Amino acid sequence: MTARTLAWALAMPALLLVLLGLGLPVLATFATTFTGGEGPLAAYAEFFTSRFRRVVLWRTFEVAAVTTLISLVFGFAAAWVVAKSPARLKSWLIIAAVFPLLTGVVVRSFAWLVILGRGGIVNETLLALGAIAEPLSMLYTQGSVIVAMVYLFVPLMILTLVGVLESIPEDLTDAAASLGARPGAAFRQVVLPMAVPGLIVGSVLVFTGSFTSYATPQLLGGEQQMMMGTFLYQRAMVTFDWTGASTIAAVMVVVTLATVLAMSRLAQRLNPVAS
Amino acid sequence: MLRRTLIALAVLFAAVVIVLPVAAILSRAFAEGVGAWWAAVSDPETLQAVWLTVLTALIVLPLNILFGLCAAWAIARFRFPGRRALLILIEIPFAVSPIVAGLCFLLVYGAYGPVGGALQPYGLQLMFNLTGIVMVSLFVTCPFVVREVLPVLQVTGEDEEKAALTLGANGWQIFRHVTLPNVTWALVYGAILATARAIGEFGAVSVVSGAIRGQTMTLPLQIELLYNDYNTTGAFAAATLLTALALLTLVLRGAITAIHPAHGARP
Repeated sequence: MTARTLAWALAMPALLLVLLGLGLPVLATFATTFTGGEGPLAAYAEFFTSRFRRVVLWRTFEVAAVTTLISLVFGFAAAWVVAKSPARLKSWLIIAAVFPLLTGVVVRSFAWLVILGRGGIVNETLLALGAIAEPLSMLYTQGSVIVAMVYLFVPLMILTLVGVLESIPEDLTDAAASLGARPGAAFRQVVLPMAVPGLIVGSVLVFTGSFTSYATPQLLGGEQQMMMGTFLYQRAMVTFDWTGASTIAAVMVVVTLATVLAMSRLAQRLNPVAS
Repeated sequence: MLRRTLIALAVLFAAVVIVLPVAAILSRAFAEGVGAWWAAVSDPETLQAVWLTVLTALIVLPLNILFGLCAAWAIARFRFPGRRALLILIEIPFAVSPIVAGLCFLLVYGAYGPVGGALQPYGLQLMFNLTGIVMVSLFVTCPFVVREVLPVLQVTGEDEEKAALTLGANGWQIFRHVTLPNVTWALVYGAILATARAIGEFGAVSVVSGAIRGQTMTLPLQIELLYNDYNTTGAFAAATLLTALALLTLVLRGAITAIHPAHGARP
């Protein structure tokens, strides 16, 4: 078997799954957006001329971008600590990072209903401290959605970065130090460039996860903070507007795909190891 | 100084973001006492949802590992036409909202879609049952293993594999004794992420499950259903079950480490 056929044989199961499981369904959905309206582009014209739809799209993008930035900062710090910890402590820290991840999106969003609600932990504490006179209404705001999403997605960032930070040999930072680099310089010039693939993988995971999420905006954003996912569900399952739903789906696919492509390209440019 | 700040940040983050929410769920689930919690979790509908969720995860996990490892190795180690296209194709499930995936599956494999419609006369139904739930779960989780294993393969490079090749190892031996040990933890992370996602998947499953009470409700769907029924105790009690499933997955992961102590050197 030549290397090329082997490569194709190895890639085939995943490829088949993606083609049958996705290529076909996505094509069908895209086709609906062109054939379902008055003219071929009517559905898109309707989408982009509607102020409401543009607001939903922008809000979704904004929430996803802010979530990604916050997760990058906290995730990198946490992953750094995990990667540099002694083996035993490291196992516990990883368990702490993995645990909430395993409980699923509904449970984790639910938790924030309890924490941020009017009778929730934050309000009770602030009231008891006398910091506020009346409970704050924190649910159903952009802030509550972002907080919950950071909570939702930061473990993905941590786990991705731990794997990458660990595979950076200590010899390299030691070598930098022996050549007179201060810790900050060694970090910027050695660790950071080598961690770029992980940072980008993590950012892609967090951004696409939050841009396309449904459960969190559904539970914590409500009608006022409608995002693309909740908007799609409403069109498809409540009003049975398949063309409208497919158009929202198409816009989501294009935006997220463009982001992933841009980030992969950035990864290739910045990655010192991979070709 | 930098290190201390980082540790303080991590601990603070763990407390606020990891401990607090779990505590919140537990406090609400046990608010009416252990008896009420037990009554809620032993409800037949909830138990059925647990079983369906576990079954789905058990079917999806081995498939994910196989697909992920094969694809990551092929992409990292071979140069072939279509390599970049494959990388992009595998990314698609991340770029597609779970809820979009659910919609797409329904449009094609549902009774009124081209494939679902063609199978209908033979009595084969793909959506609104276990098959549909497994299909979308597999779809939304398939990139996780590739995504975790690929960067590690790229960072470790292929020198060791080439060395093994010059020493006469065949493809399988190289994979088993050189490549696999290097990526074991990335693989375990990937598999954990994928399983967690399969267990907790909500958006995609909510579209294709048909949400038939007592039949096609997975645990996350059941939780939302109970919450919408204003059965708060039931919803949060069911949520503790998902938390327990998470614990079980963690124990399994610990067991893997215990069986292969050589891998235990790395977390």
